[in-house]
Amino acid sequence: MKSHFLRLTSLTFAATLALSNTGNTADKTRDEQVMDDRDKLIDNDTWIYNDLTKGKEVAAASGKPLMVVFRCIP
Amino acid sequence: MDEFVCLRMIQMNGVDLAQFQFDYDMSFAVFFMNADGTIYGRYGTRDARPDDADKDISLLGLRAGMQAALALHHGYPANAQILEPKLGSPPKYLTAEQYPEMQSYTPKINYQSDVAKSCIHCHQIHNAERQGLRDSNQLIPDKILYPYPMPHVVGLSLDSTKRATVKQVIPGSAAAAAKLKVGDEIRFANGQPLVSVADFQWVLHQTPDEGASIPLKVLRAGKEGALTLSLSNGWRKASDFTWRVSTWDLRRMALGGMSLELDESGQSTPLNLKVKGVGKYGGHAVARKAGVQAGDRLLSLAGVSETSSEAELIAHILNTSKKGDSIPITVRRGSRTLDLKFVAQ
Repeated sequence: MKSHFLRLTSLTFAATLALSNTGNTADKTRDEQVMDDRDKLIDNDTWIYNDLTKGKEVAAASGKPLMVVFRCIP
Repeated sequence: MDEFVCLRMIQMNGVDLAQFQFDYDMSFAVFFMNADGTIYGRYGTRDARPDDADKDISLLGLRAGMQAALALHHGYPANAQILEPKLGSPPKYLTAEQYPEMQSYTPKINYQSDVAKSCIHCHQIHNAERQGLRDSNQLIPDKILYPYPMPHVVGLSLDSTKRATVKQVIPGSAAAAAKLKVGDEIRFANGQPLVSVADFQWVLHQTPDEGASIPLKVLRAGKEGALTLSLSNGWRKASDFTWRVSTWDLRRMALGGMSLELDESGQSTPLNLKVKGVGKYGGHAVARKAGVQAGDRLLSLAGVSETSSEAELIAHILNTSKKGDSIPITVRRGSRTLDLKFVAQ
C-alpha cells in the first residue's frame, strides 16, 4: 500500500510537471514563459527537454519505452 | 515514471509528422512508443475551450495508459503486427515547415530572440492543411474538417480515469445498437489495442465516412466478447469543432472573421444565431468591412435560413463555395433588415 502510494505520488509530481505550463504565467511575456519552462526542465532528472534524438538514444540504450509529451507553453 | 524515458516537446518545428500524428488542436498530447518508432498508444483528449480543457484527462487515466503501454512494451516485438496501424499513412509534408504557409520557420526554435514567434504551434498544422486545400480549390474532406471525433459522436462517453471504459451509452446511438454497456472495457478497436480514450479517437479518426463498421473486443465482467460498431454515412458531422483553436482560421475562410453564437434574446430568427464578434485585422475583418456588426441576428447566410449551428454553417460554406466566391448574408439589426455580401477566403 505504501509503495502504491509512493508510486502514485511520484507520478503525480512528475506528470503534473509535464501537464502544466511550469512558468508562472502572470505578468510574463510568451518568450519569458518559454524560457522559464526551459530553465526548469533542461537539467531535470526525469525529463529530457525538447530533444527527440536524445530521447530515442536513451530509450534504445536503456530498453525502456518512451513517453513523449507535447505541451504548448505560451 | 521511472519505467519510461520521459521527453518533453514544446514545438512542432522539425517534428516528424509521419511519426507524430495526433489531434493538433490539443495543447497537451502524449505518445507511448518504442525507441524504434513503434507506437504503443496515445494519451490526451479534449473537446472544450481553455476554461474546461482538462475535463477529459486525469492523472489516473494517464497512469492507466502508462500501465497498458508498459504491458505492450513487454510484449514487443511479438505484438508488432497489431501495433502497426497506430502509425498513420505518411502525410503530404513530412515536417511542418515544409507546408507552403510555414516555410519561413526553421527546424529549430530560436532561443536567442523571439522564441515564441519562432515556434510552430501544433494547431498551425491543421490551419496549413486546410489553407492548402482552399488555395487549390479543393473541398476540405470531413476527416480534416472533423478530426479525431470524440466518442460521444458514436454515442459513447468513456471514463477519463480509466483506459477506455464505458461510462455512458446514449440511447438510440451506434454504441447502443452495438450493445455496448456501462462498465465495458474496450480492449481492442479495429484490431488495435487501446491504452486510452485518445487511442479510441485515433481509430475513429482513421475510420471512413461511409459504410464504416468497427470491430470491438470488449471485457465485460471478466469475459471477453466481440461487438461491432456500425456507423451511418456522414457520422463525423455530429462533431462540434468550434472549440478548436484552428476554428479561428475556419471562421476567416468561411465567415469572413465572424464568430456566431446561439441567439437567446427571445427575438431570435429561424436560424437562431447572432453575430458574437467580428475580426478587426486582415482576413478576419472581411465581414466587418462588409458591414456586419456584433449583435446582428442572422436571417440567412449562404442560402441557409433554417435552424443551424456555427459548425454546420462553416462546413456548409466550405463545402459549397470556393475562395473568392461572394457569400450573401441577411441580418436583422434592431428593426432594420440588411442584405450584405462578403468574400469567402
